[in-house]
This record gives sequence, C-alpha cells and structure tokens, in this order.
Amino acid sequence: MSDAEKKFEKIGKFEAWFGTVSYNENHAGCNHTGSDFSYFSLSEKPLISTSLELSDHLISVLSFSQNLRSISSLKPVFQNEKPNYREMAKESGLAETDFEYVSTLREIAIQTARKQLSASLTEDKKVIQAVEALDDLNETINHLTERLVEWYSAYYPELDLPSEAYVRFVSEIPESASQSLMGAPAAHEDLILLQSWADDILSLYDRKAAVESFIELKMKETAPNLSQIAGVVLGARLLSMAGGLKNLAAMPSGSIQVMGAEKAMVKHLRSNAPSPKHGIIFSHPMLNTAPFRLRGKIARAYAAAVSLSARTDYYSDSSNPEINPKIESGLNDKINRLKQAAPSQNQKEAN
Amino acid sequence: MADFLKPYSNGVYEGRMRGKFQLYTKSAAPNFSVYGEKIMKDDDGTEYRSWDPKRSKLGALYQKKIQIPITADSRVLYLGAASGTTVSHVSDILAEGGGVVYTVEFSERPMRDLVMLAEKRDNIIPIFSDAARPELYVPIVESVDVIFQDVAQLNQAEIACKNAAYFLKDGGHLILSIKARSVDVAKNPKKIFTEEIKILEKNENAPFKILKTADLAPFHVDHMGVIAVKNSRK
Repeated sequence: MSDAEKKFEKIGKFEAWFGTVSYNENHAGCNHTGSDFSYFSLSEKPLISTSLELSDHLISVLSFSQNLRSISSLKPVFQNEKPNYREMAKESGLAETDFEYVSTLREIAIQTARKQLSASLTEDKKVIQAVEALDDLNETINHLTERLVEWYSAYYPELDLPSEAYVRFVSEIPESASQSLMGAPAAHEDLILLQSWADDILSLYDRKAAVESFIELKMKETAPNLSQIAGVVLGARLLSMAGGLKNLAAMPSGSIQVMGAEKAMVKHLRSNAPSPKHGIIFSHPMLNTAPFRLRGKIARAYAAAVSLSARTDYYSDSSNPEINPKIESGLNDKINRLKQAAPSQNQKEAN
Repeated sequence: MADFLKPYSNGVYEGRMRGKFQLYTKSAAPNFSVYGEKIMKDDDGTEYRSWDPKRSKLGALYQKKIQIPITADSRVLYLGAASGTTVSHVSDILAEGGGVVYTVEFSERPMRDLVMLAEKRDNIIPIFSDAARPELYVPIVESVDVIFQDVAQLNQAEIACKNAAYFLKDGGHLILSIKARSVDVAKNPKKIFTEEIKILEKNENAPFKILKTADLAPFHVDHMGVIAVKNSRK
C-alpha cells in the first residue's frame, strides 16, 4: 500500500444527532473541488428507533467529557468543510422535507433539554435554595416579631424579653397583660388575635430549625471539608454566592476572599480606594475576632483554605465524603505563624 | 396586513402605541403573550406582538434603523437566549419562510421558560449547553446563515469567533451585542469596544469584516451592537 493510499485510509468519526458520521481526515486539509460534502458519510445506521433513545444519546454526547477542553478531532473538519446535516438526515430516511427535519430535531431537542433540566437540581443547588429560604425566614420572622412587640407592648409595656421568648410568652400567657399598671386594658378578642399571631411566628421558628438542619445534613454530605473550614451556614452562603460547588471550586481564592464586597471591589478598581480585605468570610469568628492589623493576612490564608476545601469536596468521590484534616491544621499553622510574626501589634490590640 | 401597520424590515412592522413609534412582529403562536408584551389584533384575527427595544438588544438594533440580515428563511444560531424574549420575535420573523433558530442557554431558570416557548413554536430548537463550548452542541446545530449573540461574558468576542468557526457559513452574518460592563467594569467602554472588534477582525478561524456598529443607548447603556460578515477563508 502506498503512502497516499494509507493516508486515504485515515477515517475519523463524530456524533451527529441522527447518528455517527464518518469523514476522511485527509480531505480536510486539501483543496476539495468536487461535491461539497462528499467525504462525509453515515458510518452506522441512524438511531431512528425511538426519539427517547435519541435524546438519551444526545445527552451523553452533550455532556460528553464535560471536563475536556476541546475535542481536537472535530476542529479540523469544521474549519474546512461542514457536513450538511439536512442532506444526511434525508439520505438516511429520517426526514423527507426540511420541515420534517426541523420538527423531528425540535422534538428531540425539547426532550433532551427537559431531561437535562430535571437532572440539574444537584445537592449543592438544594443547599443554595435552603440557605436563601433561611434568609427569607429570618426576614419574615423579624418583621412579624417587630409588629407583635409593637402591638402587645401597648397592653403590657413592662414585659422585656428577647424576641423569641417574647413571642413564646404572648403565645402561651397573653392574659398576663392584665397585671400591667401602665398598659391599656386588654380586651379578650385583642388578645386572641395577638396570641394566634404569636403562634404563627413560632411555627416559622420551627420551620427555620427544620431548614437549618436540612442545610447541615446536605452540607456534611456534599461539602464536608467546606463545612469543616467555614462552618455549615457560611459554607452554604459561599455556595449560594458562587452559584454552586463547581463554581466555588473553580474560583481563585482571591475572589472568594472578597466575595460579598463587590461594591468596595469595584470602587477600588475604578478609583484609588483601598481594596477590600474580606467579604462574606468576615462572618467567620476566625476573622472577626482577629487583631485588626492581621485581618487582611488572615483573610487571605482563610480564603485559600476555603478554596482548597471546596476543591477537595468537588473533585473527590461524592459517594464517600471524607474530611481532609491537613487543610484545617495547615490553616491553623499559617495563622499561628502570622500572629507570631507580628507580636508587637498583637500586644497593642490586647492593651 | 393590518392598516395600522406598515412594513419596516423583513418580517418586522412599524406602528404606533400611545402615539409613539413601535415595532411589531406577526405572532407565530397566537393567543399567547410571551413576556407580557402588548398584542394588536387585525380584523381577520392576525396578531402582532409589540417589540420592546428596552428589553431586547436585537429590538434596539432594529429600532436604530440598522439593516439586520435576518430573513424569513434564515437559519439562525442564537447564543444567550435567556427566557426567550427576543427569541420569540426572531421565531415570528422566521415563521413565514421556514427558517429555524437554534437557541443556546446555559442557565436552568431561563432554560425552563425557553423550553416551554419552544413547545409552542415549531421553529425553535432549544439547547441546554454552554455557548463558550460549541464543540458540545456540534451534534445538533447545522451550518447557519446568522449568529446572534448576547451572552454578557468576559470573552464575548472569542465566544463569537469560536461559534462562527464551527457553524457560520462563509459570507454569513454575525450580530453581536457587546456588553462593556461584563468585560471590565472599570475600563472605558469605548476602549473595550475597539478591543473586542479587533479580536473579531484578527481571529484566524473566522475572520470578520465589520459592516456596522451602533451604540445601543438609550435602550441599553454601555452596550454596542456589531454587524459583521464572515469572510471566506482563502
């Protein structure tokens, strides 16, 4: 076999929605003068058996090597000449007219998208929903409690309790308002209304506890290392701001460090304002109890540990979540070294 | 055609709404408002859907009296389809001539709306994939006449070039909406626009000739519309 013949043997393949298309790689490079698409052909029988099968096939192709940068074998083909999908589909008997081609493809694309969508609610997305629900609940509880205190204190101004205990008090013994010396006389129907109002708020507290334990459960399952470093709620908030565990794992730790301080960051970039040292991660006790001078450095070390733990969680086997103790010990070492390097400033803070 | 409208461009009509200039497209799926747009009815029941330039980059380009290379028989690849506000109007334009629009969207929430829109219209092909990774949807998309892109990503021009290399016919058109604020919040938008255009002109796989650029203000701030044609590789 001559070299030229050998070259001619080199055949490549790729997936089209209606079947596997083969092409001759050698034609792709040279000036092709004949019929435009003659070197493309269907190498296998088209997958026309059922549209369900086709959409399964498409999903596998669409998600094929999600982590691959590019599919190199495809590029040369498409840089030179493109296969004519319509002609091929017509040849294979899948569609007779253009309209039929479009409507068949559309039906399959819709089915495929539906399946992809129904599979898109992953565990980390559930955590995101839950942490946003938690914010909604907190806001609602505060709002309703404020109104309750405002109203009930007209009957019982002497009552001074923290908010949850206040709500519990009104729910249990609203009639004790009659002991008040300053309060307005409490009519029975007024108290009944306020009591049921308080009952509603208490049920929201229950709901909040349920959401919190849901977040804790899911976080320990899907992101054990992140929960270890950041804690369950901050970890969930980080996931929510990044848009998922995958996104958080892909973020540079510098972005994680200032996530939640976007306004300050933009101000810094636009003018010569100082850069923000920390965003949402400031809510972690490691940062908000740190000496002021060291906060920037500690924030940097902490964000690096968060990023490392998110990556560990995302890229390790999800069926067998394990905590890597090195991340936390490494972070603690780093922070101790930082604190030792600046003892004088530490002392200043202490004084 | 209704007497209150007159033709404006391919498949697009102009009329008035509360005395103001307003674009319309002939609805391909009557009795159905996609995003709460106003609908005008003809005597024979034909519906015309108003097209708000403030909610659509393409609508803004039309309203700016720029020649848009989409005809009724075009095959369009629409990148960054979102929930299908603009896609529905493109679908209207294509409905009469058997054109088809391949819509790519990456985000789940808008994708659900887009799928529901595609169920109602027979020329929309929804693709749930990343516009920056055209190799993933090669199996679905044939070569197209027009690529419309509105993705608000950092590397908007590169995404356009990559997709054009895969799917755009030689001599096909690219309609690109560049959002300066997603490239760099701090830089001067004008600088960003020149840089992005340079990327389009200089790229190897799909060299472009810029036909027209237009600032989309006052409808969209810091956005520029670009119409370009893909030169054949020689």
